[in-house]
Amino acid sequence: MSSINFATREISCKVVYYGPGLSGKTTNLQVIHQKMPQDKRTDMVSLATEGDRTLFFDFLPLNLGDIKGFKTRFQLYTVPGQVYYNSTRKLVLRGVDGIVFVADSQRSRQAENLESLQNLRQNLQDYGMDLDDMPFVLQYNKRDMDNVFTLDELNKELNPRNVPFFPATAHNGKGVVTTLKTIAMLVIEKFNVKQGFLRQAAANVGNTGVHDVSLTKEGVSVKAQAPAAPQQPAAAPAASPFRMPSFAAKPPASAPAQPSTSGAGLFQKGATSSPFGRPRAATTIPRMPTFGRDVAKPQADADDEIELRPYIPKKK
Amino acid sequence: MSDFTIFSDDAAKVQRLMTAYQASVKAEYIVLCHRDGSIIAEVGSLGIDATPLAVLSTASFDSARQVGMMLGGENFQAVSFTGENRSIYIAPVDQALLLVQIFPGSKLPNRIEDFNRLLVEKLVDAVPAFTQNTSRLVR
Ligand SMILES: Nc1nc2c(ncn2[C@@H]2O[C@H](COP(=O)(O)OP(=O)(O)OP(=O)(O)O)[C@@H](O)[C@H]2O)c(=O)[nH]1
Ligand SMILES: [Mg+2]
Repeated sequence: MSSINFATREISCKVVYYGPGLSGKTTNLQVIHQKMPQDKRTDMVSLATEGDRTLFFDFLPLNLGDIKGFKTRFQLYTVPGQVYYNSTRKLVLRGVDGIVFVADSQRSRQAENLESLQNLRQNLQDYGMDLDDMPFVLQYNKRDMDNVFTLDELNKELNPRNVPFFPATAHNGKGVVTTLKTIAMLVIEKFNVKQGFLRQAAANVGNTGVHDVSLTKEGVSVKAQAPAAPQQPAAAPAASPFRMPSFAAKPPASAPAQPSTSGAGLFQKGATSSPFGRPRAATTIPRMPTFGRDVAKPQADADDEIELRPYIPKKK
Repeated sequence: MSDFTIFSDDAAKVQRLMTAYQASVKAEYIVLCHRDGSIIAEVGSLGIDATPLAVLSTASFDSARQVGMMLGGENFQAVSFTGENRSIYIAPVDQALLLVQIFPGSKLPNRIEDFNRLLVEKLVDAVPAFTQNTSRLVR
């Protein structure tokens, strides 16, 4: 559901920790929560049973800092691993942008790992999503236990696509942050691509986005739907039995001040009206923020994307 | 994967509608959020972060929907809770969005359903995007 809100200047993305029961998903979030600097610590929400098994989900909002004026917010969720909670797992998956699969490294847990991975694939499919198209990393947890698989063995069973994987001992905090950083990067990377296309498509149609963008092997295609019906000047709700104010098209009487856009900033380039307004056909698309580091080389047409350095796996 | 872009002019429209509505129903706080948990607009203030509120409200509403399905496809339109000092009303705006309204006191306003329906209609009118316009990236 990665969403970008130009009014509040926020980008938000959703990451779900998936995996079999007791593999350490909740522990991951707890560790991240503990590691957050005190002044930036947000509340973690856990809907759990008395025995601390996740019942619905854990939730931790994470502010990944202010990047060129846009707050980047990640929403971290865990699912309940226990097999019979599938309907809740599915609800939590809705709109997911990236997945961390927390596997239990113990040999005795291999069947559960495989079953959970299969279940993840199926649940995504039910939403019309494909795990293989999604930012996805594996965490091999509980490396401290006796009788664990080697990383190679785990990869052979669980990681045919060779996605990034991380050994971890979550309850000691090991491997937790690396896992998080990697999935965050992958999600942002995909967000860049999507936002670029979506905004171009929006500009073509002259609308917030009545369009589907298809990314196929043949390239990108934008299917514009008929533009939205012109907005009727909303009739005063005279027939209404309720005394509702006629608040149809009122000017912003005492509307809360929009964030001031004074100061020729990043977004002013070529924009005539509000730089945060929806792009219109035949006007320059306001420039999107870039993630600080590698601003050097956006090409002429691709300047409305958010950039973060691509993930490059470290050589072991 | 639904991807949602909220532009400032749309957000401003929504904000105006919600502000007017808030005054007329005397709500303490109202937030419009995506059912995936991101905030579109809020009016009033509770002095807390709206995101967990949105997420938990969504979960609440989703649970009720599931219970409805178990009861043979009952399609619950809204959920509400009342406490000693506050009450809360959670209702969908089309498929993707959710409106969460918090009122002072132990009772919801009379005919909250009707008021809510009016606001929802106006929101959808004001931003057709809410119904036709979830930009999608298909792979
Ligand atoms: N030995 C060991 N124990 C761990 C590790 N990580 C987590 N645990 C423990 O495993 C137990 C289960 O961890 P949780 O994080 O609650 O597991 P979960 O995946 O959230 O389980 P569900 O909510 O039932 O799906 C807890 O007692 C943790 O302390 C680890 O790396 N090594
Ligand atoms: Mg858990």
